[in-house]
Formats: sequence, C-alpha cells, structure tokens
Amino acid sequence: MKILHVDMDAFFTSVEQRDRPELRGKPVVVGGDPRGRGVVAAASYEARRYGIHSAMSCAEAWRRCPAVVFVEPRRRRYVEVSRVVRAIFHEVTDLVEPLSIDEAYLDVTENLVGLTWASDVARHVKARIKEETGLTASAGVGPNKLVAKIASDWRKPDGLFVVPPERVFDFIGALPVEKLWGVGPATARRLHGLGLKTAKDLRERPLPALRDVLGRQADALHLLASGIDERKVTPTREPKSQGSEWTFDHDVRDLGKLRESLEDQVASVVAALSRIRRRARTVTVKVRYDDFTTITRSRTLATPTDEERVVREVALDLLTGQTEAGERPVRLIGVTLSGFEHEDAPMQLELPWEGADRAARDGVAAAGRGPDDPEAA
Amino acid sequence: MATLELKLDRNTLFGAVSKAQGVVDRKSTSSVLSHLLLETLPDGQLRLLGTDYDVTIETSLGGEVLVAGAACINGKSLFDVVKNVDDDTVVIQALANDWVEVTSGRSRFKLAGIAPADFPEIKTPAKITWLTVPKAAFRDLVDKTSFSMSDDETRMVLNGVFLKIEAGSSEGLSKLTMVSTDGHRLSKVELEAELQGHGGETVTAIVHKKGVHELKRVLDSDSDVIDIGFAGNFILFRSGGTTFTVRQIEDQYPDFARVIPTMSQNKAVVPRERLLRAVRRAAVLTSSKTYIIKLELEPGKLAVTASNPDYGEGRDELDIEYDGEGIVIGFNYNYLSDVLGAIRGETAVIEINDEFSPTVLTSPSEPGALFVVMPMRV
Repeated sequence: MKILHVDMDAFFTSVEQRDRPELRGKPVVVGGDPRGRGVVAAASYEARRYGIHSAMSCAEAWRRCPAVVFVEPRRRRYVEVSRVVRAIFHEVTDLVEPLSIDEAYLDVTENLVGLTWASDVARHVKARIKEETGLTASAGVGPNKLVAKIASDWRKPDGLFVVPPERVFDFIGALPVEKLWGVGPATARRLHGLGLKTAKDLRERPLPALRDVLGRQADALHLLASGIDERKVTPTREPKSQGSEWTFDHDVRDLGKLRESLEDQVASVVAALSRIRRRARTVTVKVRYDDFTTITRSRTLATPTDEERVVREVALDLLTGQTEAGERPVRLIGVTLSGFEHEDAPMQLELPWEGADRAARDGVAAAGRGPDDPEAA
Repeated sequence: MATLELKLDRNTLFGAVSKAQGVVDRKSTSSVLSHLLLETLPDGQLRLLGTDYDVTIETSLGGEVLVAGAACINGKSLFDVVKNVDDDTVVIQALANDWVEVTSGRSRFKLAGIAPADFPEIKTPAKITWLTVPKAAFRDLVDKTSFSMSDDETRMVLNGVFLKIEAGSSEGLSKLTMVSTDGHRLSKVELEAELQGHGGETVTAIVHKKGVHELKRVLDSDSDVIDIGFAGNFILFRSGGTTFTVRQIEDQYPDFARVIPTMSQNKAVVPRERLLRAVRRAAVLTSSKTYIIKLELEPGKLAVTASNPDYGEGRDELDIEYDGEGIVIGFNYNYLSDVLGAIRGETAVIEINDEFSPTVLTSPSEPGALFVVMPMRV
C-alpha cells in the first residue's frame, strides 16, 4: 500500500492571508474576540512563533503577542476552499478519506495520474493545490496511514516527507509513544509509568506485561509501535455525530437564557442533520459550570428522529431535569445528536393524530430528492 | 423506640411481601422508599405497606400479634429472607435500634431498618366510589392493552392505560373501555359487564404503567372480583386483602378514535397461530435496530419475509382468505406478535388501506378488541 496524508498548512489563517493581502507576514489568529472568552481556532506561522496555538484562549494569545491580528472565522469560505482541494484529491484517486476540513488520506497504490512513485504523486498534488488555491500543503508518504500521517507533520509547512517501507521500523521506533494512534494523555502516563518513552521501548516489552496495564489496547499498540497499521483508506466517513456548543461571554445563571441558547443550537444541529440526511437516536446535552466541571446527560429515543420539536423537548428536559442549570453559573452549553440512521432506512410511522398519514406519504416522495452534501458533515 | 412482635405463617407473609416488594425501590437500599412498613392497627389487624409515591400497596395479613407496634424494614432483605427460610412459622420482633429480628426455626436474622415514623404518611382518599368488576373480564382488558403503553418519558400521558366506565347497552350493564398507545400502535378493548355500585355515570382515569404492572399481580389472586375505586387523583384496586392506590396521570388522553380507520380497502382473514409462528421465525433475521419484517399479500396467499445484510434472509408462506390487491407492507415484528399473541381464536382479520396508513387487527371471536398498528416505511 502507498498512502498519502495531505494536511493544509495553517489552513484558516492561510485562507485569510490569501484573501486579504494586508495580513500577509503578520501574526494572525482566527477565533473569537480577545476581550471576550473565545478560543484560537487557527494561528498563522507568524503567530505560532509567539507560542500561540489552537485551542488557546484568545486572551492568552493577545497577552503573548499584542500585535496579533484577530480575524473572525468565515466557515463558509473555508468549506469552499476545502471543496476545491478535495476535488484535486479525486483527480488522483477515488480512495480519499477526509479527516477534517483540511486534511485527508489518499490511497495512491493505484492512481489516476499514472505515476509509479508515491513521492511523485505527492509532489503533483501539492503543485495542483498551489496552482488552484495559492495555498501550501504538507504531505507525508508511507506504506500505511500511521506512517503517512506522522510523516506529513515532519517538514511543515510546505513539506514533503517520504518513509519507504524499509525505513518504517526505525522511523516509528524513534517516535515518542504519544505519536501513536490511540495514545492519549492517560495512556501516555501509564506507558511512562512503565518507563516506556518511545515506540521502540514499547514494542520491546513483552505483550503479556503490556496487556496487564493496557488491556485490549495492548495488542493494537504493539503492532502500531512496530509500524504495522492495516486500517484501510475508507472513501466516505460515516458521520457519527452532529453537535454544537456555545461559550457565554459571562457565566449564566438565568435558566431562560440557557434554554434560549439550547433551542438555537438544537435548530442548527437539526438543520445540519437534515443536510447529511440522517435521523438521530440519541440526544446529549453538555453543560460546563463556572468551575470548569463539565457534565453530559443523554437520552436515547425509542425511534430515531429528525424533528426539531422532539430534539428540543428532550434537550430541554435533560437541561432542566438532569443538570444544575439555573442553580449554578454556567459557562458553556451544548447539544449533540448521535446514533445515526440514514433517512432512507426503514422508519416506524406514527399514528396519524393530526393527519400525519399524509405527511408520511409526502415524506416518502421527498426522500431521494435533495442534494447529497458530504461537506455538511 | 419501635415495638412489635408477631408470629406469622411463612407462606402468608411471603405472599404479602412479594406483592408489596413489587412497588418499592429495589435499586437503593438506603432510601425510605425501599422499605416496607409492617404495622398493627387499633383493631388488632396487621398490614404491610409499600410505596413509591405513585403507587402504594397495602396488604392485610392474618397472624398472631404478641406486641402491637410497627417496624420499617428494607423490602428486598425481608423478601429474600422470608423466601429462603425452611420453617412454616416466622417470628418478627422489633429491636431497640429500629432493626428487626426475623426468626424461623433455627434461622435467625437481624435486618437493618429505619424508624417507622420516617415512613411516608399514606393519605387514604376520604371519599372513594367503589365499583365491583368480574376479575376475568378485567384481566382481559389489562392483558390486551398493557403491552402497548409508551415508555417515552416525554409523552407522560401515554405512560399508562386509559380506562373508561360508562352506561352499557341495556339496563344493568356497564361498558368498560381500556385503551393504550405508544404513538405507533394502539390497543382498544371494550366489554360489557354487570358492575356492582355503578349507577351509569361515566368515569375515566389514566392509570400509570407502574400501577398496571402491579395490577397484574393482584389479578392473580383467588377472588372472583376486583373492586375499582375512584377518588380524586387516585384510582384504587382492591382484591383479596390487597389494595393498590395508583396516582392518576392528570392529563387529557388523546382522542384515539381519530387514529382508528373507519374503512379499509383490503381485508385478509389469516390463521392466527400460523401467522404468529411465521412472524416469530422471521424475527430471527431482523436487525436489533429496526425489527422490520414484511408482509406480502396476494390473493389467497401471504408471505412473511425478513432480510438482513449481516444475517441472511427468510420467507414463510401461508394460505389466507384474501381477494384484495397485491401489497407489500413493513412492520415492527414485535407489534404484530404482541397482538397475535394477545388475541384468541382460530383466525385473525387484518385490514390494510395502504403501506403508510394504520392497519387494523381484530379477532372474529373477540369482537370487543381492536388493535391498530402503524407500518414501517420501507
């Protein structure tokens, strides 16, 4: 297998700097108002030199570099550019697996441009992106997803790094365990506790000893640490959940205001659900209190729904019945839908309390129309 | 400090505790609602009480009162102990710290308890109108409707059965109607019977599902009749020495007549048992998410089919009386098997308008029972 991982460089800020020449060469942050409580969604390379990175609070970013230019995110614009980039991927292969708006795996073992070497395919893709969008991307090439993804990060920005099969074992062995797929902070702590710092340390430890500490995950990690990763590039990623959350400018104790925010979010999440043509079975409400403790409460419905009214009722019921909203100040509130079923899947019809039988028939007529919009995910 | 000393027949006590145990909270051991109150009354009678506020059960039981008083015992521990003792006699004695000692033969247990005063005060409704209903008839109502109550907590009004009692078709007869629906299917059973105490007035109640499930236990007792009491926001059921008080769901029950089709295009008469078995066989191949099976009707023949990309597919054919149009219609198999299992008789009648509209199932031998099932959109 020849896998390519392509990752756009500082995607949001690069788009802004391309569209607005006055921002070029300056530290730019896409995110919320630094006087408010927004977070950094993306930082340009100029901003990163000051230690600014995504997920940092905008206030902190501003402290680190008062000269930084804050730009409001223009999500729709980024999606537009992302579509152009994705179309370029599809010139090369049908096996494209988008990971997010700005990165994707490509299986180029067989490719549509007739190039033998994956490194040539990578160069071709990078050049096409530059030509069509004016933006740079970094690419990693390897015999599997794990290696390709780590490689694309190796020479950022505008990088290209190729790990040929015979080099994989050494390349992976030298990596800190945190770089392995599936190793989060908790697993990393446990591994460090065993004195395992690198993938090489990990793979040299006998499996039974690892299983005692990591359980089932041990076997998978052991393979990854040896550079073995058999995950396939799957062209369309099934959407798993659809969510929204909102951080308030000031902590909110007023239940009415919380309900209002939740209702707004339900409306947008349900709209997104209909764009990806799914119904959802589970509604989850998330609340973060002023002391940053965060809770989620969910309910699974008997039948999947795409009705805003149903989702709103359940979400509000969870908020008022199962959280301390209204009693404790709330910093953030959100709602997520999951447990998806395709809208063409068999659906239990409702008894026609209000002429619903006609609606059901109309629903059948409407299904099958409407644009298939994978971007909405 | 609580006093109480009783000498009881083991089987009598076990019968009472198992009924009361159905009501109390089995999950928590500390909550007062997980406890049963055993107390003597001024007239020397003995009663056992359990409650979760929505449903209260009160059972009187015979026994020898050595010392009058009360004790409040964790329902689950009492149930488990009484269930497992070997001797025919059980002695219960309150201890100084609100615990109780349970002795039976050479077995002796000390069970944790709480002060009887902490048990919730049970307010018996002051004015109760009692009607006496033949038990077999009432059990039929419950058995044919309890399976289609809703579990959806956002539709509280559907979390029970709707009961209506009104004047019957002739002098001395009363009409009982019981309805339940979960929004996807509906069961309606009507019957006429002589009700003692009923003067022809119309009374209605929505009985919470928890009460309905407990009601089934009372209906298993020996007595031939059950008394139904209406009192404000409560409905009471009394049979043998046991009384249930169930809080009513205080809401307007939906106008179910609207969803019952008045006419149908296609009517099939099917062998009930054979269809039930075919449905259960097909169910083997349904996915746990959709439960969908399909009925394919053509003149003289019905096929039950199921398919699942992961498991395989199946098809079962049976001869039926049918001369309507060819139709393929999807159903949640549970909805069909619940109905076909609840009705009796050789045949069942299925009336279909089209694959998106309510389908009606009835039994020629049980004219009072009618079931509406919504199809699944395939």
